[in-house]
Amino acid sequence: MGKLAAVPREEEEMNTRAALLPLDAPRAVAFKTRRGNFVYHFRRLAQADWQQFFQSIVHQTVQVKGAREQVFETESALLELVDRTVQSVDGYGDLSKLKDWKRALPLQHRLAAGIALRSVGETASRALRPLVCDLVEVSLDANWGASDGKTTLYSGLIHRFRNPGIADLKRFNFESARVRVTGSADDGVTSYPARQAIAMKIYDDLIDSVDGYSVGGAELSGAAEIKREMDGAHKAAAALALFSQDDEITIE
Amino acid sequence: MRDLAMLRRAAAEFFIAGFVAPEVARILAGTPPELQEAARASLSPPRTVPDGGFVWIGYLIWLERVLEILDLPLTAVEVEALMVLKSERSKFQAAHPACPHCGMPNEAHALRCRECMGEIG
Repeated sequence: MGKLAAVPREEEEMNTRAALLPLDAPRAVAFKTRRGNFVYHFRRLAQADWQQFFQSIVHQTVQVKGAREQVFETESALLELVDRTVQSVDGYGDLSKLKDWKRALPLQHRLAAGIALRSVGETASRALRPLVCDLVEVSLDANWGASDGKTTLYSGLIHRFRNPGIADLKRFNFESARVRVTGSADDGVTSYPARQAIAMKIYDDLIDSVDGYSVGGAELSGAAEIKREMDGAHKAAAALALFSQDDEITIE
Repeated sequence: MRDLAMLRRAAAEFFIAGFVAPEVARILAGTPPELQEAARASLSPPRTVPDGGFVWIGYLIWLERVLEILDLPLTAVEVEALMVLKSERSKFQAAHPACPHCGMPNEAHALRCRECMGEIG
């Protein structure tokens, strides 16, 4: 799981909150450039928005006469996500006379906003988890919302999962290996499935509890409520972290 | 992946790649870092099948190992693919018999093991 690829990157330019992350609060992304300060306001992102985003990411290997080329393209998916969910923007003056104000926004700004929207990843530096336990804990850091023109960083968002069974692992590995090959065996295109989309589904099957999130001002609790309310990008990041192995083993 | 012919080719290439891997690793260990990528490309056997075939092979190898220790329900696609993998492994093993001393596979015509240098046959 990569680190946050957030805009702004400088931690001192962000608000760091210990409060609960309000899943149902209006969502905003703030950033600044040499031209000024900008804020993008979004509607709440639904599970379907994230499913569509993850499935729009292009990850392919193209093979032509023995030569291979990797294609990994997320920008189109990010732009689609932003254009579909942004409701208003600050910092550009009066946009009411434009025919299509969303398309008129600078491409780099829309991409930056999209990157910030999906900026969630496993907490980089944290104490080792217990080795044996009934529930497996994953900690996330995420950008969410903005206040005073600064994006807010939430750290240490906890997701606790039931230990995955072999059937869960098989399902994850099977779904991850379900590549689509088009063309011939000699000149073919391999399209890889979006692992995040798979992870979102597996999250719902294994999640037990979370810390650090709220809906309607109350702390999020109970598996049913978590499945319904949790942000799709957070689901994907937490479930992928669950299946990632980071413990190096040496036989002695 | 439902293309069993492609899977068969991928399996054959996968086993050959595994066969030459120790030799490639030995050569790469003595190759300067800046030349390793080019050396790996020239030493590794060519892959003639789209990468998707090898992704599926990787899953099947994992599945085989799991099935050695417990039962799992399988789909028809998995069963067919596992049969192809088994058949290709048998062909590979017939063409690359194991050294009686160290167990490493060798070319069928080899007189000495490429790993332990012990006499074969």
